[in-house]
Amino acid sequence: MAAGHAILVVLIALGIGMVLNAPGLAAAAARQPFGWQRSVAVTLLTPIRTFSDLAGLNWPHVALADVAAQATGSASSGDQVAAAAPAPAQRATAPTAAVTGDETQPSPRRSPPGDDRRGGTREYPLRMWVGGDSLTSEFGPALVDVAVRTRRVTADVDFRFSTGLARPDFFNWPAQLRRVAATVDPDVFVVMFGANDGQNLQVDDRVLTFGTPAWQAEYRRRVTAVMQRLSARGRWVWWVGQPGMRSPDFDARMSLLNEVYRSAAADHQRVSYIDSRALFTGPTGAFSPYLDDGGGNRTLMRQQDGIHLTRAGGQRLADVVFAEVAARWGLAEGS
Amino acid sequence: MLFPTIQFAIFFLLVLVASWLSMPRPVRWKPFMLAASYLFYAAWDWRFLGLLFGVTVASQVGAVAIHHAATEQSRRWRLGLTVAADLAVLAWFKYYGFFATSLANLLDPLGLAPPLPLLQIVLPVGISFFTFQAISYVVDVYRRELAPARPIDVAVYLAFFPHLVAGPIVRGTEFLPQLRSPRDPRRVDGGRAFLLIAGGLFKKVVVANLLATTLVDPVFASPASASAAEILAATYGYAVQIYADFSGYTDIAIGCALLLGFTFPDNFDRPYAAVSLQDFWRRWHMTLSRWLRDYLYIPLGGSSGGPRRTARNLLLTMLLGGLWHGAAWTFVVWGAIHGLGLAVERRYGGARNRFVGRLLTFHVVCLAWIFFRAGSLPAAGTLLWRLLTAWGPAPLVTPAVVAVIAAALAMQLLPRDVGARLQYAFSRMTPTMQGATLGLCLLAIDALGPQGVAPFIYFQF
Repeated sequence: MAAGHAILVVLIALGIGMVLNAPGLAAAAARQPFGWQRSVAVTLLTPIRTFSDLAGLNWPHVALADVAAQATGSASSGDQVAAAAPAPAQRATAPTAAVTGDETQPSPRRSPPGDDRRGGTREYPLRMWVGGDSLTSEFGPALVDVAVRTRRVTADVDFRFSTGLARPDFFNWPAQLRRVAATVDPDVFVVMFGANDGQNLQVDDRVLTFGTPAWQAEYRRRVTAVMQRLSARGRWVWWVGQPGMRSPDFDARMSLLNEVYRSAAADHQRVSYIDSRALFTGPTGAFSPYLDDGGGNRTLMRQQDGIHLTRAGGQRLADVVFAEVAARWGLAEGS
Repeated sequence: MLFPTIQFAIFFLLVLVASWLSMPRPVRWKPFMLAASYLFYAAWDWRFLGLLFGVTVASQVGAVAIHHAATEQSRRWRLGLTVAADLAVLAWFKYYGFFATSLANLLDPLGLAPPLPLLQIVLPVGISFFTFQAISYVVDVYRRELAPARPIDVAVYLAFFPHLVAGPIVRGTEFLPQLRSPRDPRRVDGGRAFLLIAGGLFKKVVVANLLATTLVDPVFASPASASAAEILAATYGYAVQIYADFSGYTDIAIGCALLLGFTFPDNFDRPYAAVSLQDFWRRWHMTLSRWLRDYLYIPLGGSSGGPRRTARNLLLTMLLGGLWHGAAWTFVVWGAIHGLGLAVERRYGGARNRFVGRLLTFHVVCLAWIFFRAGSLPAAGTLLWRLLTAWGPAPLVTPAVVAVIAAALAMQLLPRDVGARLQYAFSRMTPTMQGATLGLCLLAIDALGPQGVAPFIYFQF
């Protein structure tokens, strides 16, 4: 094969691939952070998507994606959550739909919903649901592990990379949480958002610049709406704040978000804010990747990006969060 | 810049065209390819361009010094210094944190302050691969298998973007001769290249991502919550995932290199069809196992010193091979399982029945994968304990993941010439049909794969 032949084949393949995959490419372009790169990508892909739609060339992609979604049990292309934003980069759900740490027991009974929820016993295990962005990828499973060991808790975890409350067009967490509340109806929600929310917001056709009063008002409105939804029907919510970050600029952004979470939680009776900042700072109060693991060993708690937690860091946060949940529900590990 | 992204597709198309346009004049092509490769690396983290450049300069200076040394003793000294410099770079970025914290935790009970600052050092992507290639170049010059190449050739060899961040580990003896004369634009192995790229994308984007997100990651993230059936399926699933992920990457790398006119060595050959561990290492990450054999196992004495020394050398080689993946006890155990397994095989012989051998080898490899994938030794212990005791429902073991695992393992048993037959059929098509076929493959890959692509597993090594 000549080099020109190979280049021609590449061009044809990419051209056909772009037209047939136009819905996915256009959605991926739209999910980028607001800025010139997103604008260029959207501008370039819009006519290709229009052509693909008009020519009816998008149906194989939609049909195949639906087949894949049905096979794997994930959200289909027509799903409420994924309609505006297709499924995320990664997702993990702990295999704990009915796991209590003791598989020999019969299926756990549900505590009655409403103000008299009384989960937290072997007869009525507490149903916990943990969710959030990529910072939850280590903390969430660690919390599930701690919780199910008590044999008084069942737990699910759902973390999705690059998500938050700022970009429902990328992943619609409020819609997802509504669905969880309706179907799983946990007694306790533990959520952690924010690492991807230090960016501009789009409201209708306006873009609100991060940190401005208008931005803060809109973000607080979104946080409040989620808190109200999650704490309805007698449910309890633990809202985990962002840990300190290595980058001063990023850390300042997270501090602003933490203040929004803290003040919004203070307005809700069943929402508790957990300050994770102090958990991940050294003696001087500064960002510290190495900390005592509780057993006298210095352990790496943060990943190389200075943002995410290692498994040890996730465990450190999970222990603190579960202690608060356990104190509220009278749980104790192994009891 | 991940391979399965539109950014890489555009980058590669532009480089492909410019590469063949400049190919007739090496004085233009080499600086261009070096710049393109450095741009590719800078897309990960531009701060480490200096590191890549520094390793290149140090290795070239060392190779030239070895070549011009007057005595054998001087050659050895210069080799030792150069290899030590390359290994020091690797040690600093990869093992300093592990070493400093281990030392601090050892001295702390004695009331002694940590002697080294606890720094968190960012690991440059691909460092294990390009330092190993640099070492192989220097050692090959020392062994007189290779003369020192021109500096620009060495720079292109170490930075060539298809193999830069995750291999295959291409030796100087394999690549540098290809730089001596321009590649022939009339003889591009496009049929093989396109099939490798399409197959690699499918393995990574569809198979590896699907198994990771729906089964493997949830089970390994919460070992205490998984049932025995889920752990068993996740272990098999991880065996398939890491194969699909890593072989997918190297297939794409080999395919891209072929389109640019260069040939890389194969890196995988249906490894789960292996009938013994020795056979497995002839089929799995072949370029690493060759590297370990030629630059570690044989210099240690290989199998020439009797059964005990052979066993020791096998164990040492595999332990160091484990540590090459990262500074963690889980990798040490992974290496130990393989090292001990190889030593036992060498001493007592493998299974006589091929089916039994294949089954046994696969399960020893899977046992080692549990340690490789688990976050810690206690987590691996929990998984193994629950694999034997935690009978219960397995909601994560869906028909879809079982089908994918079964199909992927069954494909390991296909004859080797299936690829050649597909390649022949593809090469008989017109360019339009070839492009259309590949376009349809892109459709299937994009539609069937999860949205977004996780980084390749081997990027972290």
